[in-house]
Amino acid sequence: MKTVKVKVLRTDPDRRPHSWVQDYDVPVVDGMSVADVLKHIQEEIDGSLAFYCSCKVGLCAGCSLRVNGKPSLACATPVSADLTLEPLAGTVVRDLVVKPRGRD
Amino acid sequence: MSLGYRVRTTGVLVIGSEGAGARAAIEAAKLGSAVTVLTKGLMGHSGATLCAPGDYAVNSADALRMGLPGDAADSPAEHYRDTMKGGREINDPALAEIMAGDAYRRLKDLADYGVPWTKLYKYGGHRYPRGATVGAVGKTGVTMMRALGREATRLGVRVESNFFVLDLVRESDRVRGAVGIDLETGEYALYLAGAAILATGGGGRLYDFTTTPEEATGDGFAMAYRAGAEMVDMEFMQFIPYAQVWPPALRGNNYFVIELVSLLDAHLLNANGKRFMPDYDPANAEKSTRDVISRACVTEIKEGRGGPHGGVFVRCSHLPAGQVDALAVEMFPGWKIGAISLSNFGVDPKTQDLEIAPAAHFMMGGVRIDTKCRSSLAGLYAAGEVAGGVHGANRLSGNALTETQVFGAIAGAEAAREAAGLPSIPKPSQRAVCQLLEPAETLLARPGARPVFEARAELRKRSYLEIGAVRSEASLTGFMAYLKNLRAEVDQGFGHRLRSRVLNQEWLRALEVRNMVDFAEMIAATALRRRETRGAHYRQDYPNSDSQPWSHLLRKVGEEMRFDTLARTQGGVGDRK
Repeated sequence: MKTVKVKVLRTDPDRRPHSWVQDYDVPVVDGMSVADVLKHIQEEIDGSLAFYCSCKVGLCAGCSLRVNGKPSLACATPVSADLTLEPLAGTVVRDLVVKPRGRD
Repeated sequence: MSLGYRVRTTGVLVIGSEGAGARAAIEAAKLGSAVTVLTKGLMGHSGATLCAPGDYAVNSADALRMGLPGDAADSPAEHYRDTMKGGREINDPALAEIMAGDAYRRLKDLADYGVPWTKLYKYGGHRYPRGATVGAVGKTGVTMMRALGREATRLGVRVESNFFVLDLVRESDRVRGAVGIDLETGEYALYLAGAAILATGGGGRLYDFTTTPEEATGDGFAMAYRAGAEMVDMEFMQFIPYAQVWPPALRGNNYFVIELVSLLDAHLLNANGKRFMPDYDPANAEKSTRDVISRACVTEIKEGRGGPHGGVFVRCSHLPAGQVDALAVEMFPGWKIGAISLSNFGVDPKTQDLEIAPAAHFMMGGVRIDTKCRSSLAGLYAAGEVAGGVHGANRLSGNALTETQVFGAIAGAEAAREAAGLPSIPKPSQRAVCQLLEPAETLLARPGARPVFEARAELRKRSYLEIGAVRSEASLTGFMAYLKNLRAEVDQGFGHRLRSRVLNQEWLRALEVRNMVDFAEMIAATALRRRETRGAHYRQDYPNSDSQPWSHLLRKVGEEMRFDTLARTQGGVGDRK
């Protein structure tokens, strides 16, 4: 098992400043996806992290975000090295979650 | 406790936005109702319908009329018979008959909304090819939801995404709407309605290993139960034996293996390399039914013959490579389903064994409904997985999508008619509303000791082992005792880092755990009282089936669970139609 550095662009509407980059060290094995990394952070390291994940089988497209700058699905993107995770363009509700279209 | 909340009024309130909810909303809007849909996730990007990899079940003769490769010898009556047989005779026969009878009309509706049905497959338990699909695996549910979403929008249905419904509002034996939280702002809201339709789907996430999406935490079962609605057959959770346990990115994915085992002669092996299905079902081996294969897998794993990640193995390497490749080309070109590509995660089924285990897949039980989708509470309807009775003790492939459309349409029409005939809706007292909001406020404001993610992980792990595919009096009573403590913990609150009301997922998880506790208690309590084995309910200590089929009724009276049984008529199958 190795450890990767994961940089997450976080946003908290109740905090000043609203946005900052937070680093997490995450243990990974072969065959893990970005969604697995996010779940590990939320469940084991920092419960305050918000992200959207529904089906985790590459169909709902709910887990869209930017991985190293590129729009991607968290569940379909394998992890092998350090990562930078940011929300898609749009109005951020919290962390990696943006408002659904038509609501911003 | 006095809490602020906004008030909205609508004609028909639909809770849940996917297969059944969207179809109900469309039907109610077509009849002129003002319709509001509340959904925990995002419409079209959540729920189980869009995860449906394949089939909508329709009798093969009608499929033929649609230009699909069906069989004229089939009929709705034959579809009904197979559904009853698959359900081990405890289905509500009137509901099963409606499902089979209306399947074709609702399939045509979907075609009218733009779903291009292209193929027809034969799956287990169906005597004819009845599984209508859209192209490759993974396309059907997604295509259906896009079409339903477009139609709902066209008809002016109002959708509130990221809205968590806490509870139904019930006054003088009538459901008058629901209260909940707008997750994006954290504000409480009361929705008053002439009629409400529950279409919240299932609760597979109660189990630590499941094929179901993140939202499936049993919310609808729990809120119906707390409101006093009668529930039916809550002990029947279907486990599907084909879900991958490894690697992590594919955990819970059953799409590849289900086709390899159903359509090819893939073998199931234990950790010693022994092919074990012939020991459990010599005649059918790997082609046996979901319940039998699940039990066999769990037995192998429990008796110490499981693999390093707690599963058994599927092997294809003995099959001609051309055969496996041909299946992939037809069903999942490039070994890719949706956005998931096996090679991205280092998996090659042609050369490697895949480690799999039974995963919680579908809840057969739920809110008891009549042929008009009415629950036992006036003003409350239910459709889709949250409703019980259609599938009995075991659901056949394809009948889930059919159920969403057939009963969604009925619920929408009936609720619209009822709402149109009602005088104005009396507003419940502020005190009554605040009482329903209070548990949510407590879970946010009162800091408990244990992090919610830890409590939730433990609940899910224990549920899988103790109220899962294999049950016994010891496992069920042990689980009930554990659940009593967890319920006390829910009342006291969990530990959390975030105090904000804005998209606070620790708060959301805590609220879901509250629902999972009610849901789990219904499963455990009914499973304990069913001292037989039937369909998805397997009791190690009672491996035989009772001679007379019966259904389990359950409702909450005060703080007590009240149980009842309902005799089902064995062999009555052929008498209908």
